[in-house]
Amino acid sequence: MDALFQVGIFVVLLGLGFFFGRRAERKHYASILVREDEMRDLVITTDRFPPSEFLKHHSGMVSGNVVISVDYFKMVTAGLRSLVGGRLKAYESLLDRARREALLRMQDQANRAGAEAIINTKIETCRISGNANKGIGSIEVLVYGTALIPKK
Amino acid sequence: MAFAKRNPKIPEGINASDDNPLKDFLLLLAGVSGFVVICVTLLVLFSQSLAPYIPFHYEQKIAQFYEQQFVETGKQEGQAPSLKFQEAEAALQELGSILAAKADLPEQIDLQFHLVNDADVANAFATLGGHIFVTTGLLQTVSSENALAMVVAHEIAHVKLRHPIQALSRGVIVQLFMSLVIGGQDASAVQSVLGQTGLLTLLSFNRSMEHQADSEALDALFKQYGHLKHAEQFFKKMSELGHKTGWKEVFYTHPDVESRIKHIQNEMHRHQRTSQQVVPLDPRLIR
Repeated sequence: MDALFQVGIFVVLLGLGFFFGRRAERKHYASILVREDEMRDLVITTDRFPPSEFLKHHSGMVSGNVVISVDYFKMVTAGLRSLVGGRLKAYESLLDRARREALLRMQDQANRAGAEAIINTKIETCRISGNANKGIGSIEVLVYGTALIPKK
Repeated sequence: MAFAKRNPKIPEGINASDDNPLKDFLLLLAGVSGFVVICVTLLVLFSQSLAPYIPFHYEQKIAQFYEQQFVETGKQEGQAPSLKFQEAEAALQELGSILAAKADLPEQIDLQFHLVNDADVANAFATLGGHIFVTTGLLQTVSSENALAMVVAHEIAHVKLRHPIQALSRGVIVQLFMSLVIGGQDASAVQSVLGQTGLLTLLSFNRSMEHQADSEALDALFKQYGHLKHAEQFFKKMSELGHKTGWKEVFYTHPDVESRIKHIQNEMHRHQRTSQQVVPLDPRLIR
């Protein structure tokens, strides 16, 4: 009876994780695709120095960061995967989403400042709660760069 | 090199795949659980066939862990046992010794009988280290010494056939394997495993174990009394009770009552004798 109860909780959590996690991912990707198109003219590069046409621009730091939680379903799938090895597809999409979202937020900030381009972009990642008591982990992506803003 | 005018549109599916994660999950689940089931089956088979070779004094040492628990099980909380209870326990010990003598126990095995002060539950069980428990409820259920002897002989047979240590080995090794797979890497996991599986009543015996123990018990009973009358009495009562109240507890610890009654009755027919004198219950055991 007790075991049945535990299995029941596990299945419910798994189902919730799958349903909501998948829905969130779909919505997020849809929004990412739309906003990436909107921001296509605000160029992001990793060049260290501004090109000649931007030499008279102001510069300023812009950054974007994102934290996305792993859902229970992804965690269990990854747990199983870690027994046999291979690509952790469940987590790959999280990292992909987090990176693109962080870039979009940086672009958003630059856009509001009236920037025309962002150079010297760096991307960093870390885990915030991944090691804490084997709880459900999350992924954090931080991007920052130098926005080039035209003089008025 | 000209500075880009627009961000390029990067094709999807390079860094993340759009596969349905459910497919991946089910494949993994099937693979891993298949592997676990095979391993557990093999481990159970190994542990059950090897456990009887564990020396009995090791088993007694393991049982010392739980001895305090045994003592508390027997007595009512916070009360010294009454004189009547002590007498009954002594009578039980005497009956047990007589039956043990008929059971061809290996030399190293020695038995200890405990009476459990629980009038509501009619049950008996054998556990690690040759400890055998009989509830006072069982004493109320049986009408003769023969009927009680059958139950006691059955539990003695469990100890003789080393069923408790088999059940413990099975439990420990399976739990250990599971904690390896799931990833409880600390030593406390093993201890908690021992703590859990050692709990008296969690030692469950399977059907073939019960059947073997029945056969052994009938042999001992026949040697002692020369007939098998009343051997099936307790099981019949349990079966009736089970039908009446849907009483689950007995069926957990002693499954498959119907087929066991049949087995006993077959044996009774085989050993049919003219004189079938039933020995009355020791007056000290009458509740």
